[in-house]
Amino acid sequence: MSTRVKIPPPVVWNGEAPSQQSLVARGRSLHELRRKSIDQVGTLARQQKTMGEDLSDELARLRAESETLRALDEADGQGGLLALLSRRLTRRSRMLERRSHTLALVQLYEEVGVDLRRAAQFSDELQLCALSLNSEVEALSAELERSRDNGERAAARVAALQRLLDEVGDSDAALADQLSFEQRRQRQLQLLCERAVALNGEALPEARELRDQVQGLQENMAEFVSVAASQIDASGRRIQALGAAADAPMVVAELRESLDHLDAAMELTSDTVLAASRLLDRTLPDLHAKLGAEAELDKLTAGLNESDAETKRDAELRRAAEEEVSSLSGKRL
Amino acid sequence: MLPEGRVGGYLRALRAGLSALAPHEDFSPLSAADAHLRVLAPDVSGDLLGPAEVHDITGMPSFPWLERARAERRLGGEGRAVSAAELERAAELDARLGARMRQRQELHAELAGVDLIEPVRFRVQLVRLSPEVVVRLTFDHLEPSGTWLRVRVDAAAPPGVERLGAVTVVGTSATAEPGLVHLLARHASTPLIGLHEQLTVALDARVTRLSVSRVGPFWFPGIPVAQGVPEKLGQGLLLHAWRESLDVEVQKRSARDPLRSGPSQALVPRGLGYQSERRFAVHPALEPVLLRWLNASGVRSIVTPLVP
Repeated sequence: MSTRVKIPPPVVWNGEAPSQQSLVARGRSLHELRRKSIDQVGTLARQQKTMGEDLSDELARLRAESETLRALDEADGQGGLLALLSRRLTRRSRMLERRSHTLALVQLYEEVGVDLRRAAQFSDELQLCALSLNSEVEALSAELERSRDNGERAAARVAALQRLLDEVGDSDAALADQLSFEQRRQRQLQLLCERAVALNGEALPEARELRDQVQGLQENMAEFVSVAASQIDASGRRIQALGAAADAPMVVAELRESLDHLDAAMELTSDTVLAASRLLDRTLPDLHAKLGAEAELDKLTAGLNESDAETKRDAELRRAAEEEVSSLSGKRL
Repeated sequence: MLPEGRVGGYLRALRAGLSALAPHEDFSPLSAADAHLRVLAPDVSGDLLGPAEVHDITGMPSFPWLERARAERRLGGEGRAVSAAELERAAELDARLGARMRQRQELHAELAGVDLIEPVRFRVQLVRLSPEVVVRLTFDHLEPSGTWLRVRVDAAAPPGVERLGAVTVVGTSATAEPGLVHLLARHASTPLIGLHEQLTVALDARVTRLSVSRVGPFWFPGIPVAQGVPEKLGQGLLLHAWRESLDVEVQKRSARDPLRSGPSQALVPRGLGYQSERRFAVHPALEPVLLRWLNASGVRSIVTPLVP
């Protein structure tokens, strides 16, 4: 009988033959993969939170600024503050203290624009991460399937060996011993396959969960980017016009101030013209008339005046001479 | 918004127009404009910088479209480069994602250190210290209408003066108070005479030269031409570059802009001469129409062929 018994051929493994080393290595690699994935997802989630918050804040500021400017544009730009400034400061310092709304909006838009581009880039990074995790899930599923398949193949051989053992019974002790040894070896391989199934099976739900989390983050980010992009584009189309409109009251005030200066200059000019006219029309003839009258009076009093003047001149000369002498002699004469 | 298929052609035509006009230093910098338009092209940036939008009235690239390139340049400088291995992995997992990530990486490399059109750019220079102190201000601005504006100001003061209003001379250089750029931003569209007055006050000096120039509009099918201009001039490619100035060196008034008459001579400040000009880069097919219109307007302008 022993010559007719044929030991079933060794299992043709699906992929690598199971071994203790490969199982340990697989366990370690799954552990490492899990740790890396969790770290990566944690980092990405934190980044996403920060970016989302930053972008929301910037968008809110942009919206608030736009609203304020719209209100400013609608309101009378010559408000109290401007009037107060007008009274308190000199014109140049006022001009240089005012800030352009256009510049403020452009700077804000620039920040929001960069945040948006960063978020779009990040969304691609999230997508890559989700795809990588999905590929890990696929690999785990394939590995699970392969381990399961190998486990079944090992089990089939164990069963076949058992059937032979039953068939041989006590008839051939040596053969029974060989079959039993082979069956124990095969069972060990089957056990390794079952451990591999368990290992991959345990890792799979967690990998799926991580993948789904990242996919969720990516979907949120992509939607956020898409909504923000359309809002930002719409702001961009209006922003400069809005800034210019908001600057307009200031520009008008400043130009009006120029006109005021021009008016003042013109007023001064017209005052001068008026004064000149008055001078020509009234003052000069009056003066002329007065001068004429005084000339007549001068003629009448000329002789008297000449004699008075001569007397005064003599007295002054005498006083000056006396002062000079006293200063030289140190005594008053 | 430009249809996808027209973006490359539009940008090529605008670049050709700029290069034909070869604007000098009174205009916003040609190199920055050319570099900016080049990176917007789909063969350089793919669809990363889209959608391509142009201003309805002037036909110039819109502010948001131009800003996207500047934002990507800043992002590229943040050092978030993706490794070659990641790019390869992305291409393996999703061809479109991989292509987009690679395109972004290449665009960042392309944009590194490149001068682009800025919405606002301001520079102050000390031109000389004797026989009088002369400072020059250069202010570039992307206008709400999409045209590219440059204001150049030369202001002079007696030798030894260290402060020209908002500008301080320090050794062989000059600095400006931040308020000056805000003033220029506010008054970028103020008519020349008003702007001259504002600057004279802000600089507390003689403004010896003031030029305001613009690149644009760019007329092509779909963009309306200005009133009184033959409709046919909107059926090809026609780029404008125009400038007006007040200058102590100019003795005789010269107005060579068929679309603007300029301020009346009575308003021009004493001692300054007024000049204006409008140059055209035009597709050869439209050149005869343009020349006929210019002749009829009695204006002699510089006309150069625009061949995309």
